Amino acid sequence: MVDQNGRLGKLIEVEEEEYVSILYGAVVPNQPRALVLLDSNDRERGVLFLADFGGDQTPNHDLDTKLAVDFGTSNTSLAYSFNDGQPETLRFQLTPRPIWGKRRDVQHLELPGFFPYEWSATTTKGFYPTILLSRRSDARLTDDLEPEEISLDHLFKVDIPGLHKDLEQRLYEGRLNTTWKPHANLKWDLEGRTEPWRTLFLELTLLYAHADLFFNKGAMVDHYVFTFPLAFRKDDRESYHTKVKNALKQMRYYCYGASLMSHVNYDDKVDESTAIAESIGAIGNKSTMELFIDVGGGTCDIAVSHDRRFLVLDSIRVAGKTFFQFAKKNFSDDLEGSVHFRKHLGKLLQGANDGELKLINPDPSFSLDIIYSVGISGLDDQHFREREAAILRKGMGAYSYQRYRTRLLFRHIITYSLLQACAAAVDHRLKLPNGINLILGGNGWGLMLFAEFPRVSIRLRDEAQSILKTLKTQLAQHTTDEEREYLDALKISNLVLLNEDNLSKAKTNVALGALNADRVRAVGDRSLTMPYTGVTLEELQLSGANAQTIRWCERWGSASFKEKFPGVEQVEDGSFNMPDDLEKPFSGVLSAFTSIGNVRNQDQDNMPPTVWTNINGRITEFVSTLRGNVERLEVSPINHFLSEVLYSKKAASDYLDTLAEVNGNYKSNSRED
Amino acid sequence: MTTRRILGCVLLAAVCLMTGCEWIGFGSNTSQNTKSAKSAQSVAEIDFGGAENDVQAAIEKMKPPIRAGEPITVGQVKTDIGHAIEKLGNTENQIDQACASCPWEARVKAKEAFRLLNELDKTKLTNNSQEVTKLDAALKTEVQGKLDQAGQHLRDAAASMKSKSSDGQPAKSDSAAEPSFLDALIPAAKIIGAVLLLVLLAIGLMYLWQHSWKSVEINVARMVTAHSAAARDGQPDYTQKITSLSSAQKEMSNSLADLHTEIRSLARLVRESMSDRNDGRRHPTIPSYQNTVEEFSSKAEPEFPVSAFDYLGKMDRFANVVRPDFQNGILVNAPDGKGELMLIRDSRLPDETQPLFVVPRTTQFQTKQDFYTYYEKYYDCVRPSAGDVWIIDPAVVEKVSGGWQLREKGVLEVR
Repeated sequence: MVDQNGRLGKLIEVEEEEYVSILYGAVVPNQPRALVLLDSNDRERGVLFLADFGGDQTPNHDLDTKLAVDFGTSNTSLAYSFNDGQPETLRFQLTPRPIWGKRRDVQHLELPGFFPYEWSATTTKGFYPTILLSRRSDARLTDDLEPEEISLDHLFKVDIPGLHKDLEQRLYEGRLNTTWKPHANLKWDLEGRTEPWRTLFLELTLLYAHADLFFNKGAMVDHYVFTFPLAFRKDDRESYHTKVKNALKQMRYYCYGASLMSHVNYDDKVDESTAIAESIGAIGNKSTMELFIDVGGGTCDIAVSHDRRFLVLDSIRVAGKTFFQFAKKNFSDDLEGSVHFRKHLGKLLQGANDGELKLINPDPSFSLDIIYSVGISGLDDQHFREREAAILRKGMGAYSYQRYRTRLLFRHIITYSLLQACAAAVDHRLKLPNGINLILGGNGWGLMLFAEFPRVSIRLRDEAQSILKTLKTQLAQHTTDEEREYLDALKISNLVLLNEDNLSKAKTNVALGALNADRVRAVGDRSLTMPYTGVTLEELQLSGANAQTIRWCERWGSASFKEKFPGVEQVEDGSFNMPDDLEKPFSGVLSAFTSIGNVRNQDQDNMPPTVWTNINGRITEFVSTLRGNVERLEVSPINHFLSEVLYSKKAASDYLDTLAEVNGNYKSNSRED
Repeated sequence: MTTRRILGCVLLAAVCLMTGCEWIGFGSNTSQNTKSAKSAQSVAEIDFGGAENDVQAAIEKMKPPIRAGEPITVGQVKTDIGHAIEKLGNTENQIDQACASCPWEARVKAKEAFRLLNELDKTKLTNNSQEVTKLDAALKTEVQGKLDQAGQHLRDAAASMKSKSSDGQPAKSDSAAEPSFLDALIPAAKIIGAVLLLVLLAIGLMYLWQHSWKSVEINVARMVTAHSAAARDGQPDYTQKITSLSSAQKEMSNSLADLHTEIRSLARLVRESMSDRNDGRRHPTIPSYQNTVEEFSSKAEPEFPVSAFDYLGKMDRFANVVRPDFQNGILVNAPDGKGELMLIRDSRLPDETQPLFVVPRTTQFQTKQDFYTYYEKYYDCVRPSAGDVWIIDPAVVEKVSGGWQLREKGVLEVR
């Protein structure tokens, strides 16, 4: 291809006998104007001139354009705003225009590797699954490719299948596997296999975003916000932002030319907890505390706000992926209600009336969470509602394992968040006449149907009220009379479930909120929003300093330690006083998380004593390995207890399965009548 | 299993408790009796009553006989006195030892009686063979007087002993406090035992009730199932009729689609005919609709291999767009025209009498992944690539409920 300036495009062989010619990097307009014809020996044999079809594509330079990207574990969403106006979700609409030959969208058959002719449901929903496909034909396009080595060629050898309409079923069946290799779990670099796929996904996303804003809205992006979860540790966060900035430079070079390449106005301060809080636009006041809980794919992001000031910003690794971690057991174990669950998945994702969902894609990366994410992305809201209602009508079956674990999951998320809110109220001595206003966002709440919880605010408010009562009872043992007054005054005054009416709003709000964040409320000192310890550590010894008790309502982290242990610069391994009886939780707060799993009496903890011995040991180990572990100075002990102990990634130590078994919701042959 | 265990435990506990009560009951009685016997034995160590009887017998012998008979000798009187002394003890020390626990008064009276009797035996009555009637009157009166005194002392001693017994009641009741406590325990234990027995009976009854209720439920369920089955057998089975109605509806829908295609073909023929008329050329004879149908039906099907373009061009009026129904693994009609395959089927003929082919809707592949993504399930292709699609062997399907199922994979070639 030759552009209007006579410049030959870059020719890339993406597959045997498949080529792409790219016009890029020009500061001036460079629309296609001719095709150079080559013979089989790659000799130029002539030029075919094209009619002028582009028209005027001059952008509006007066628009100050911001682009926000919520790169989620399961789904990704984008938003934009002009001149600090009202942010809008970016819904891709641009379609290819053939300059020669036959349109391939005539038969409505989308193929990966091409710019989408028909966009997936993203045009209405505003988000799409975070999944990438890479061509198998390029031997260099492997896990070993460093992000810095990614070139323009690679960008055209990958695709985002979630953006193409009606590719879900082909993905599910593995029909694309011959040509393409799927890559999921791009956000968390747990096993060093995230790159180069994460960078490629972000670059392609940015290419589509820049193209859509330029051709459909005449805008060039001036300012970028990429949100991140607070569960990202410092190293992860810095690495993420560095790679994103590099990707942005590349993309700006391809789209806008070399002169605008380096001029990247990038905001790396907006975390997802802040973003979800800012998206609501709630007006903070002195009489109410706002508690934002955003349940996404990989993390649950929490923000506690009072009088327009953040008191806690926190993130736990208990979210959608956690759900699928235990949900997949229904496909291999003979669990109570597993058939019901598989049929419900068949109904929800494929519209089957009585057919079970089967995991048929042979690619190991195509796990249940990916199938779910892809399946749901192809569903419009109306279909989801109908199928959800049908599933709720049928129920999960007697003693259902999945229902038990799902209920426990959502109860744990609420318990953790309310514990942070309680600690904030006591620490700041807040007597709140109007109590707590809970705001629930994120796609994760859509999984509540498997807990037989309808997506109804009032139902969840009752649940939260009951959990708050249990928490207060347990915390009463660790509070002074004065502190108890602040606790007693707490109540759930209101609960807003963002996806109650609008299913997509819960997800798209993060990107929208990110654009509000720096405009409305500056991100403050992190040490003032660090999470609370959550559980009292008696006589904590740290770095040889005098032992100090860290109470449940005191903040965790380096800043707090420096205040508590004057003169200590380097945090060494710690230890604290454990009671002699290790066969019960060393603090009553812990049992608040397990007693809510007792199906007969939610006030009583029926976790077996031997399990408590292990759990107590795991928390002791956490405190004793603080030295040189930056991550553990950012994750509070109560967060560790929930994210890493109760929801351990190791299946062998799934203590909640033990609790399920004790309560009769496990394997069918394990339950005594 | 658990119920059985509970029942067993309760039964065992009840048996143990009740047996224990019995042991306690017997134990206390035995102890009580032993203690009573010991007490009686200590009280009766000097037989004051017996001694007095002997003294009385001696007194009677000293009196003048009422009837004539063998005369009573002094020796006979002395025998009675000797018996009385023997009962009291042969010495005063023996009386003290034997009557250590006796009241002082009784001991004194006993010793007094002993001294009197001993004096009579040793000093006053010396000639055993002498008849009593022939004794000196003064001696006789003295002997009778002393015997009366001894008898009185013995009666007094016995009385003292009796009064001691009555004075000792509180002490006796103290020693009897244990048996009375046990006496109180026994009824309590019996009550508890009775309550446990009742509980046991109640549990047993409940257990039996549950089992019998389960049996009733099972029997009722069997009866209901049997009745339902009978009722169902008695009723006509509408399921098949509904299914066949559904199939008929689908058939009708297909026929309507075919009819629609026919009408479009007819319209095209008419349009072509009209345009031919208008272009001034010689007009061929306009075939009637009937003729057209006959012409089409008599047209020979293209032979394979054939390019997809040619095949679809020739079989256009027999072709319907179909798409996969992933859930059921079949091909279904695509009324919206969005589908990658064409089903070649003459709707005027029954499906059983004609081969049903499924061919690609696209006549050219732009990339090889066109094949892999959409057609690999229905066709084999040695070297898929960009190019014209040729059908070497068509894929064959068969009619199933709700659509068509692949019976035989076809073969494609790209040229």
